[in-house]
Amino acid sequence: MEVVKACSTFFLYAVTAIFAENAVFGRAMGVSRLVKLVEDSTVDTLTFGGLLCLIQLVAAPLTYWVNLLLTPLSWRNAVRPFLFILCSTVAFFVVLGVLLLVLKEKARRMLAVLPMATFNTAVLGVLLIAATQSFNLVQTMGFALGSGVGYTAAVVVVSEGQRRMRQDMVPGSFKGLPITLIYIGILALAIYGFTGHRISIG
Amino acid sequence: MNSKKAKYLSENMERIARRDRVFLNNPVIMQGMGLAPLVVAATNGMNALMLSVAVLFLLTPTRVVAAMICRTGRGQLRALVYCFTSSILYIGVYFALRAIFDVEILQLGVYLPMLVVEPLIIKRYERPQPERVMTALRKGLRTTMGYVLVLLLMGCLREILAAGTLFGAHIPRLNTTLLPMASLPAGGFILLGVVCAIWRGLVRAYKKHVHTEARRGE
Amino acid sequence: MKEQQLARIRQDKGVHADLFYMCLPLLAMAFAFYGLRSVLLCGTAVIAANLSDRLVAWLRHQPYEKGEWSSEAFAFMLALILPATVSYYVVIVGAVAAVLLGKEAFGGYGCYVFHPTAVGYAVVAVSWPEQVFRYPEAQLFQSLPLGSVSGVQLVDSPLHSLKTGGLPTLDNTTLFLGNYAGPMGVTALLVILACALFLANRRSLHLSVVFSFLITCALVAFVAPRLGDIPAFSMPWTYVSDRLAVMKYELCSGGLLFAAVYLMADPVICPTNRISRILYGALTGFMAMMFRYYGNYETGVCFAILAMNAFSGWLDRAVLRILHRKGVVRREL
Repeated sequence: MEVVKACSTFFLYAVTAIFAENAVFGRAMGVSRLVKLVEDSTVDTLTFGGLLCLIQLVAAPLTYWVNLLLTPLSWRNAVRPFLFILCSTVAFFVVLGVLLLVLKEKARRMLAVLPMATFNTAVLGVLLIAATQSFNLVQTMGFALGSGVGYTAAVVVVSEGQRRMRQDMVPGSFKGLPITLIYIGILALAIYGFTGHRISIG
Repeated sequence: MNSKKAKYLSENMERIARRDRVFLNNPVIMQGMGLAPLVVAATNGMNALMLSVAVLFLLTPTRVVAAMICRTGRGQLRALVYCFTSSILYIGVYFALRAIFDVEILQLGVYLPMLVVEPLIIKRYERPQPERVMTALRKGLRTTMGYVLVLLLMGCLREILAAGTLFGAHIPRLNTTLLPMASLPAGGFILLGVVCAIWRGLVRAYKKHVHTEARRGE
Repeated sequence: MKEQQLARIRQDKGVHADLFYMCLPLLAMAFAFYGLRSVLLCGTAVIAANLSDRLVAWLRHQPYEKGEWSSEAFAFMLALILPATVSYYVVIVGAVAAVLLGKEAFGGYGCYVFHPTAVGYAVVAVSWPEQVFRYPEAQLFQSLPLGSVSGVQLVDSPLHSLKTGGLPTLDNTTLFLGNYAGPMGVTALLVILACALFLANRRSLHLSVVFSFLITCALVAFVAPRLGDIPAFSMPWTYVSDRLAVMKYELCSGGLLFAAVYLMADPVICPTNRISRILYGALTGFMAMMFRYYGNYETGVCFAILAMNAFSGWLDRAVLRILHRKGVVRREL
């Protein structure tokens, strides 16, 4: 029964993180990286997204336990980013080790992308939200994985938008970053039409 | 414009534009960096000011210290060097901000600690050559100025549109909210997109004017 | 205006001009229920859209294209989805957002990715929900004040009770004639149906999209009704009369019929292939119902349209890829 309850909590938080509290459309986390990914076709979106999800999954429980240790300290807000970066670094090396072990030569192509997928606002921001909102372990894991999936979905959706847009017809001043931001903003409006309220930023 | 000046600007426009991190090559408008705090947290003038002070204290010192460390160590761990440098410096920045703004900084939520991994601060690690310390200092200061300008512009604009106030003070004769949506992330994205487009239009117009003046002088 | 855009206008054979003209009967109904204010609001929207178009033509150093009525049509449709008590400023902001953000920023006619009316509606609904989701009582030959409407009592739509699990108490005549509190031009269902027939006859409306949208909405309302009297997860063959009643009210509320006829069949956004269109209509219908059931705003259809617009191109490509793989000859529709 406890397992079923934990699974349903995990999926609820994951689905919420993918849709209603999407990291990109709801909180603009990782938008700078997203804009670069969408313009740059040399980095595979699914590879980046997959690595991001793996990093989130490994880092989330570490940050949960670190946050528990920090709770009684008055200066926790100051040191939290440093300790969370430490957890992300551990996750980086764990994922690196797993990739080299399992994929061997194929992993070398992913190595260039791994730092980008680890040290970005989408990862740290999500872990900080889970910490400041005092999620329990299952909620943190569900939220972290859902955010990774939601981020990847956002990159795919925005890339699809880029493909559909007639870039040659877009006014010169709007080409590139401005129209991408407007596209993301309109989709963010659509999601706001569902939630109807501003989501908390910690 | 003086024709000699126009000719000089026209011939060196690419180099000048690359160096000018405030108007011609603003890190936000031209390179799309630092978008997260701008879109979500900079919803009013005060938040923009707090973020500006944070970036002022964090960006240049991170870049300089990381440049110093990278020159001495292995290149492969650059990402770690930049992130750890910014997160350690953040500890001091946090206390400084608490001293200046007290609990107001809680309005920024997680967007203040998120600056630690913001591409604006750490993106330099992606380039293979280590940066010279003086270059890091110069570029850091210029990038800070450019980002602070856009932060304050967006923060004030969004506050005026959404609340009809500026740093909390009511604007006389403005008795209606022009665009309440401006305080939401969706509104932030759209407004930033429009501001970017207008800014880029002005940059293009300026470059065209310089080239026209240069040709006229020939 | 670029050659591609001119070619696109000729190909679409004035669909938006038809849509504009078919908004006029709805405006007549709105005038009957709310007076001159409704006409002034629609006129303001259309003029704001026209001026925005001219401004963009001047900024882009292009001649203003007189035959192209899409901006005016989008603004007219937007005004009709708003209550008659909304302020002129809100209508102007909506119209300008629809034209500048929804259409011109993406490159103008033939290039927009999101339905401009839905964009304009989303902007004003999110900014001024207290004006957009509260309505004056409809009454034949009443005349709302032309200026400030602070003295007018605003109520929730009677169909708002669907959200709380209840059933509205409107009789069929009132329901189909539109004589109840709601958006200006969206409640007169008989008029909308008549306009739909005209548009279909003029080939300005793809019936595949309309039917798939409405059938999906009806199915969702039938299988999973919001009525409190019907237990959740009950079998579809139980409580049939209650389900049919809920289905009727769900289809007649929230601007679903208006959206199906006027918004769904936009020639630029609608997929080109018939199967894609059916899927597009069905998915948008499903999303519209989800937005209505679980979303915050009762007229969630515009937000659902925005969300689906992001996928319509992908849908077209996916269906065409499957059809080509199966060796089916694709007919141009």
